[in-house]
Amino acid sequence: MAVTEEPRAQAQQPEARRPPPPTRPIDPQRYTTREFARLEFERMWSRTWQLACLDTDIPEPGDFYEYVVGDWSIVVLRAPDGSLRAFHNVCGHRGRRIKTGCGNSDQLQCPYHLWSWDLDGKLKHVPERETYCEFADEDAALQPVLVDQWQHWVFVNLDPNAPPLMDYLGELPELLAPYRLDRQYKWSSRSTRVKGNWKAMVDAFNEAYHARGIHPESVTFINYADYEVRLLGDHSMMVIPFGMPDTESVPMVPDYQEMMDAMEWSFAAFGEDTALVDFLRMCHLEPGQELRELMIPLMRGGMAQSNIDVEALDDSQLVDDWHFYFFPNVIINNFSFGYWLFRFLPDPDDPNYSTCDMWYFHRVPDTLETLPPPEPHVVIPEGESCGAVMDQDLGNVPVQQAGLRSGAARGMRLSSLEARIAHMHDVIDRYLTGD
Amino acid sequence: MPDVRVLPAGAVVAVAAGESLMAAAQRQGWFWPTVCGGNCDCGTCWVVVEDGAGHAPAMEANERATLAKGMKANEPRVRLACQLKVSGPMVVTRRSVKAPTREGETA
Repeated sequence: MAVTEEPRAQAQQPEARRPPPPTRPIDPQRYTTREFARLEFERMWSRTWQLACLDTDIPEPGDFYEYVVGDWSIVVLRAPDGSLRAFHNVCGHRGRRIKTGCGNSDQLQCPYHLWSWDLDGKLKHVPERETYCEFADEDAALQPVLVDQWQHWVFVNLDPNAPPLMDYLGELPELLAPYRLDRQYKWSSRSTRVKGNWKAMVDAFNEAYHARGIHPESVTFINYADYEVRLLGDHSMMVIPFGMPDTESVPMVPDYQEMMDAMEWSFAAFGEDTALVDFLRMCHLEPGQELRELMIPLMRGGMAQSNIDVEALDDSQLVDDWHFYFFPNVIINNFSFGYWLFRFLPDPDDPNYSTCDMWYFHRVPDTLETLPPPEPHVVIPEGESCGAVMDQDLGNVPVQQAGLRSGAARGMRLSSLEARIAHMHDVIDRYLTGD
Repeated sequence: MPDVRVLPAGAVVAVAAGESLMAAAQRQGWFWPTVCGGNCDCGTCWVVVEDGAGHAPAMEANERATLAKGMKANEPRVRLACQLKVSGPMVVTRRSVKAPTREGETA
């Protein structure tokens, strides 16, 4: 038999840095019952900072954006003085939601009886007001919601006594600073409805352990074994090494061409440019060399040619997926060239459903003064394709949800690789119990 | 026992009745890429059938479903080696099929 290829040398792994394996199994009913969803709305969603939109979604005075979570609708808008405002999107007359979606308006007018408010929430006009008993304008003013901004992200919090946003974000801004999220624009914005609890969606992104089963194409160029996990206050992160095969499932040096094919397919599935793969195809691996050793100089050179300064990024930040979770419902797969943001919103009525928002960002050249405007949002009907790799996750979660609903599902046993899932439940419990 | 030739490695794999191509190749010492181990879950054992497609069984629903969600979706000559039980000689291509290194030898 011909000797053609040497087995993979065991990669030099950094010492594993992960929390200890979680000890408590997670009750499946947390994903399936209306009672648990009700508690989440009452005690958690009502009190957490949540990403509502981008400041670039509402750049001009009068621009507004409706953020809906559960039964709440919040209209976030740009005031005439350039500041951000947020109000409960509820008519001070008979309670109808005032605005739907996004747009621009110099006032907030309810379509029902045409009551209107200024952009600062003050009552502006009531048709035939003389037919009412006397009432103070303040008693019909729009109810403000806390709003604050970090980078281009606009957050709202339904709790008027919430801690400041920056306190809430903790270490995340510092960890993300080298990536210059201020220099990234939203080039793709889509959403779809998924038959899965919002936490099942978060879970599907908050560990890389599932990738061998759900994204098996990627095992030749992403190492899913023994990855780093950090818990960061209410939030968490992991670092998934790219440019090397999975040491658990790929015992031989992968065929280089097939590795390139898989890499190209995976990035193209997110609509990403695959020029890097084109360059890599012109290279070859020396025995014992890892793909990432080819990627690092190519990526640094390519970024420099594109006038994007990545000097602040170390080699891991340049090549790997530094993956962040913003409790409760936002995840970013974060790369040197951009990030994929996923926001999962609970269905107001049915814990078996959620909405998955997919916002993809690219770093722009440093020479570009103004970011391009965000791309318009596209709603993809449930079950239709969101890109092949996303489809693998979106196809998997409903099948998990079905199992969780069956009543036969055991408590979910989680490893240290899945510690972020257990941590999310711990944080939820802290909200639910009021600790 | 039909032979299946695997390009470009040049492996000639004798496949027993009822045995899959991947299982036969592994039994005869060849490295075959797989993540799920031959359960028709991962799709990474795919091959391109170059010749002898008539000796392959019709594709069943689970093979079709696994191929449909992976990178070889919509490629008509692709089959999963873990499901490929051949009735006659065949030629397939799969670059990642390799002979394992014997201890003490180098590539």
